[in-house]
Amino acid sequence: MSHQQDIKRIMHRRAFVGNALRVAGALGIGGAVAGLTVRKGEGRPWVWQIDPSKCIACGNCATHCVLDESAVKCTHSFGMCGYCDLCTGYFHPEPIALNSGAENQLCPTGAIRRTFVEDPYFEYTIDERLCIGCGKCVKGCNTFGNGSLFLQVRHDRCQHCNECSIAIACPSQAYRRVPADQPYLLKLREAKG
Amino acid sequence: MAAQAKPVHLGVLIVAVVLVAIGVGAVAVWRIDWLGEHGSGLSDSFKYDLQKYQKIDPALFHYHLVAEMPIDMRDPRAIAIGLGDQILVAGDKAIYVYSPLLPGEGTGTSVSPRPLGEGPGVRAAGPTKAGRAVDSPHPNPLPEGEGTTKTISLDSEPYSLTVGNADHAFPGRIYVGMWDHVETFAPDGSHLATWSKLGILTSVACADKVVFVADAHAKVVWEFNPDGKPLGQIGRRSGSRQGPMFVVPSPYFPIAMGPDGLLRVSNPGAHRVEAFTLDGHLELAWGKPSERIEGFCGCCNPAHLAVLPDGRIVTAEKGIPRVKVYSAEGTFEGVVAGPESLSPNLAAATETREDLRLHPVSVAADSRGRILVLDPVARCVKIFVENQK
Repeated sequence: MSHQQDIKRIMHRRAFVGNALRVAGALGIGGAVAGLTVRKGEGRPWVWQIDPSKCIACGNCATHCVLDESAVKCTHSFGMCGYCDLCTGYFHPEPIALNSGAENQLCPTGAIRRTFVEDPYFEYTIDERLCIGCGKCVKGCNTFGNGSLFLQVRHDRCQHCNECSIAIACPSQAYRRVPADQPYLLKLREAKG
Repeated sequence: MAAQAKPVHLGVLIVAVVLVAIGVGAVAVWRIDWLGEHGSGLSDSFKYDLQKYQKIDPALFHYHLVAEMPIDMRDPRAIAIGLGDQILVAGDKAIYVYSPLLPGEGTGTSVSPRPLGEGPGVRAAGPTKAGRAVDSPHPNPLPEGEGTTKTISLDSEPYSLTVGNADHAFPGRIYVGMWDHVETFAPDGSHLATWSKLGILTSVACADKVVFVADAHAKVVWEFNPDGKPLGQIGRRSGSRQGPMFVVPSPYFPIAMGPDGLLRVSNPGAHRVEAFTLDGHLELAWGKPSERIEGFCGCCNPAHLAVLPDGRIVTAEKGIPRVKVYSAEGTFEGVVAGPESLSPNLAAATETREDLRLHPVSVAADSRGRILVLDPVARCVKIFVENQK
């Protein structure tokens, strides 16, 4: 009788050890999954971007970036553009002539290229090597035109500083962090496709 | 003998440090450029400055503001003059019909008409209180006891509006330009018809037996009979019609019918006003691009048109908000309103809209030559009267 009780106790002990191992395994697997999930969430990269609906094109983007040449560039939403002959983002308010003469251009660095499409339409493209992100063309386009020119942080240049010096200087709170897999904030119509 | 060092109390030291910290903090907060007014540090060549074009020589103002009618709408978009100089304002899925102004020159500074009724359908006129001059010793421009006559409900947002005059086949019929189609209403406000879909409608005008509808998407002016049957179009070269093509970069493409029987069409990309006969032949064109007062500023102007009873043309511009009067042949005559007398936000130098629709001022002229300017930002109708010569 005593021997049988010993066997029963041993079996209970074995069952206990087995159950303990199963629980430990389940906890381990669950913990590993949870850990990986949390790590993936924590590690999701975020980048700085300008909300074009808040940007007032004040010019701070050109001067407050830590880079010598700002990471902010003008972006052109072709879907919104009117392809005007007299583009107020390209020309001075009172141009001498509607041609690409430097005296007629609004951009201080000549970063907008004007290309004839068909009479009377012209296409305007940004030369990002020359653009410093001053936003002068953005103001011209917003004031009179369709607002197709707007500023964006270009992520091939941005250093992704933890504390963006332009964001600190932005008077309209237009800077915010966006997921790196959706790094641009396009204007409404463009975003809708 | 060495001077004895004076002991510094710890409390004094802490207070001094706290005061210095507060001072530094205050200076730091004071130096924050909340509104971007301190500038970017860039030279003047990087600044976009329209100030010199926004200042208008006072001698050029040929009209003066005599009254303002607040419009109880969130988003008023269009104004028209109806039979007997009724004032119609469209917006917020409705048309408000206001009583005519007094025959005399309204001189109140503010009037407050209220539309009747809410919800669908038409509410009949009632003995509503007419607008009263507020804080003004001047008479009320609205007749006593005859304020707003009715409200016409719409299914969607209206963008343009016109009313058949006494010479029209159906005097008093209301034509409302919605986003892509026209709705018609009888003078009593009952719904008559919904016309077929077009493109992006920006303006409606009517002659005796023809209704014109400007389409910014197709860049043409459609011609219909008053029941919505298509008759033709202006702006597309075909057959005997070899007129100019319209350049419409954005949805600002106004038209207006003149007493001389010519349809005035703004060709906004060309900064011209063009006059067409009813069968679509170009009679004359005038206008030039310029930020200066005699020209049309920006890339798409004029954004609204109206015709005075004597045939002179009233133009409204966006960008630099200004309302001007030209002779029927296009000679600049004078200014009605400039940036100083319109809402500051209409001068959209820092405006950052997300869509293509920036609502500029709309204009209309009543039979007495008064110019009514719908200011969508201030949500009021500003009434201007010509200066005594």
